[in-house]
Parts: sequence; structure tokens; C-alpha cells
Amino acid sequence: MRQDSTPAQLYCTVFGAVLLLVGIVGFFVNASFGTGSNPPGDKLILFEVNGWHNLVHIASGLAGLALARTPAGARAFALGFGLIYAVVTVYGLIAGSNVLGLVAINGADNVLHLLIAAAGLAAYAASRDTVSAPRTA
Amino acid sequence: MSVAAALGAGAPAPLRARSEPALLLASLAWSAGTVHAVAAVVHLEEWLLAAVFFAIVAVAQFAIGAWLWARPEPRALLFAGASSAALAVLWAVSRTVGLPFGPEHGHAEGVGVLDLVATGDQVLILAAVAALCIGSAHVVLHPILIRAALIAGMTGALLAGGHAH
Repeated sequence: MRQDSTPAQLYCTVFGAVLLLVGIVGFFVNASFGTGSNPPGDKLILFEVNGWHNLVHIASGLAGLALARTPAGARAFALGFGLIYAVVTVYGLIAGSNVLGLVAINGADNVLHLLIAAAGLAAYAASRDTVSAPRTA
Repeated sequence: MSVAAALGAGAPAPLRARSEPALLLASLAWSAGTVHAVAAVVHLEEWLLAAVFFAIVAVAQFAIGAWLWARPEPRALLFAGASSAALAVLWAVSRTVGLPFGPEHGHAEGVGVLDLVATGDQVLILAAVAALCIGSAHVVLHPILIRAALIAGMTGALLAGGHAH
């Protein structure tokens, strides 16, 4: 009998696929790898992207999809991803237009990063029981 | 007499708490809430009241999602279905005859991908609750269907989002 997916596994699958698709399409919008205090970026509708930002999205997406296969891997990804995006959100709010002089961002990016972080940490917390305790039919 | 009884259907069958169907249903509410959170930011400079409304809707949908996942009892399902239906009707009015108030009162707003995604999520919630009333929840709350809807909705919102007025 197939086991239910944990919240972390659903998080990894959905965000992994979305980030991978957005990263690939992002290269058709802006593939530049500029650096500095104001790296070049183009709007992917609401969100600012450039080559570095696209690479981060693709790598994150592939990692999410790979780790979605097991509850433990998915939970680790949800925690790590949530923490990283929490830091990125705070950094983005302070720095304003870029992260580490590489990734161009704007206000909508910050909202998205905050929601991704919150969802990741919530998925990690909500999957605690399902990973630590063996399941019964 | 309840609406469900009037339609000849029973109350929605409760789902198992923290099960995959409950998680999928909750995810639809969280997805709609995410779109409304972004909409609140987008509306900040053009109509503050709308921004506040969208922020309240976003918070409510995050809370409803948590309720559906932790305790998917009939009361939670009916509340989720009714609120989703109300928001879908409000959206339909704003896109056809226009709202009777606000900066564009009486004028139909354009349809954007972001609002289509949120409305799609809400229609799926309503369909799932209706399916639970007639014992066919597995049709709507199918793991692949909901995953595909969430991925398509979020990707569409990011790639073709934007707000049409």
C-alpha cells in the first residue's frame, strides 16, 4: 500500500518543479552574469532575475526533486531551504536591490522568498512525526 | 435544512487528519493565500483598502489551510468550501460587471494569470468539498491532479503573472 506523502515531500516536489521551470525560462529573459553593487536584472513579470538568480533556481529545483523521494531527505531539504531563504529574505530587506552583489531582487522577490522560507520551515516542522515514527497501515 | 441536504447530498465526509488528501486540500488554500499575499503588495500603491482586503484574505486562507490539514472535520470543510465560493463569486463579479465601489467601480477588470490561479485553487477546493459530500473525493483530491495544479498554478503565476486592470 502506498504511503501518504509527508508535507516536506509535497513541498520538495512542488517547489522543486516550479523553481526548475522558472530557472529554465529565466534564461530566456536574462542570461547575464554581471556582478557588483547593482547587478543587471530583467523582470520576469513581477520578479527580478539574472543569470545567477536562474542558476540558483535550477540548482534548488533539482535538489528539491531529488530529495523528495524519501521523507528524511525531503525534511532535510525543507529545513535547509527554509533557513537559507529566511537569511536571503532578511538580507534582501536590508540590502535592497541585490543579494551578495550577484542576485538581483525587488520587493516582490522578498515576499516570495519569505513565503518560501515560511513554507519550508512549516513543512519541516509538520513532517516531524511522520519521519521519526514508523507508519502503520 | 442545510444546502447539502437540500441538494440531496450528505455533509462532507471528514478526512483523516494529517493525511495526504487533507494535505492536498490544505495546499490549495495555501496556494491561493500566497497569490493573495502577493496581490496585497501589488495593490499597496494603487488602492490601500484592496491591499488590506487581500492581506486579510491571505492570512485567512493560510489559517484555513492549517485547519484543513490538522482537523479536516465537516465544519472546516464547509467553511473552506463556502469561503472559496464567496471569493470566486466576488472575482467573477469584478471581472464581468465590475465592483460597485472602489477606484474602478462599475467597470470590469481585466483577467490576469495571478487571479486565475487563485480562483482555480478556490474552485478546486469547492469541487473537493462537493465531492466529499457525495463520496467521490478521490476524483478531485488525486495526488497527481493536485500536484499538477499546484505546479502549473505557481509556475504560471511566476512566469505569466502580473495584474491586469
